[in-house]
Amino acid sequence: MHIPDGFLDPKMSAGMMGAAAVALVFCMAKVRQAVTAVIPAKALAAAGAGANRVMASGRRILTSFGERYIYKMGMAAALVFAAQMFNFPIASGTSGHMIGGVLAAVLLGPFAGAIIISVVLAVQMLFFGDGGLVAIGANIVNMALIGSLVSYYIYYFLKKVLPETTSVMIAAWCSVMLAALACSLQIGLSGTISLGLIVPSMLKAHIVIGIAEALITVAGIYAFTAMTGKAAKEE
Amino acid sequence: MKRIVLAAMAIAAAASLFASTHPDGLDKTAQILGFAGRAKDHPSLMAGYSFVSGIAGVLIIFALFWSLAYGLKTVRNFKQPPID
Repeated sequence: MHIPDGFLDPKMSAGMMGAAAVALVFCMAKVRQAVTAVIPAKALAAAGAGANRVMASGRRILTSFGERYIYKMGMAAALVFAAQMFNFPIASGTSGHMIGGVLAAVLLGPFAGAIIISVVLAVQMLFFGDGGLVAIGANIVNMALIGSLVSYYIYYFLKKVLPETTSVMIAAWCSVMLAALACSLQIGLSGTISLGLIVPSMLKAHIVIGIAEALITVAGIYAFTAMTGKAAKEE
Repeated sequence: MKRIVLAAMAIAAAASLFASTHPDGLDKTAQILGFAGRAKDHPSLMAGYSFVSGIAGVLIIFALFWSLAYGLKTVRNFKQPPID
């Protein structure tokens, strides 16, 4: 679902870049809070010589939990990148691939999830020509913010009434459909093609892709958790 | 840590060999509705995913996060006190 350059008009591209930038700064602030801690003044005084350097860096240091958390973000990002490469055939000469937004968000929380998907998108764009340069903002909004951050809350609220696995699957399916909807709205509102044409065909094309996303997400969460111990955010 | 990165490399390598080459949902829709021709390529370091570039991509992504953690561990020779 990577929008290439040429499908969006400049206004849409710029607007989406702005939205993506604002939201990502917020996500980074949230992750920063999770991976660092303020050192109490008393401990600083007791620490002696080493403390000056801590003072200089704003008394905030990376915790050992934070270090492991960032490594886990890297592992999740590597997995999502690899999974996104795996295009699987669906109906009539069409293929689909994973977004991985719900996978990343369930494993590491919604804010880290959005950052993970954004990094994957940036690398795909810069190194592999996958997704447009000017369209990066729109792609981040669709797959990282809607596909990960927003869809996490679908999971979060469903989980209160439904079993864990069911909630993950529904959220993963919704993440694909919502991303496809956002993508078609952006292209339609850019005047590339009429909204009446693109919205239904994009949604139809992604019904099956969403089901695959749901299944791979459940398998991915299971595999990741089995390989790293319990999910990092629960530590 | 190693196991997951290795697993990701294996998935990327397998994807380069076995992944479907059909257009994805958006590209196919663009073809059917006739606006696929408006897509423009932009310069990138290695267009498309091959066996080697897929594995390289996994390593690049992990290295970005690893170096972030490495860079943030700037406080040296400092015993981390219990945090309350």
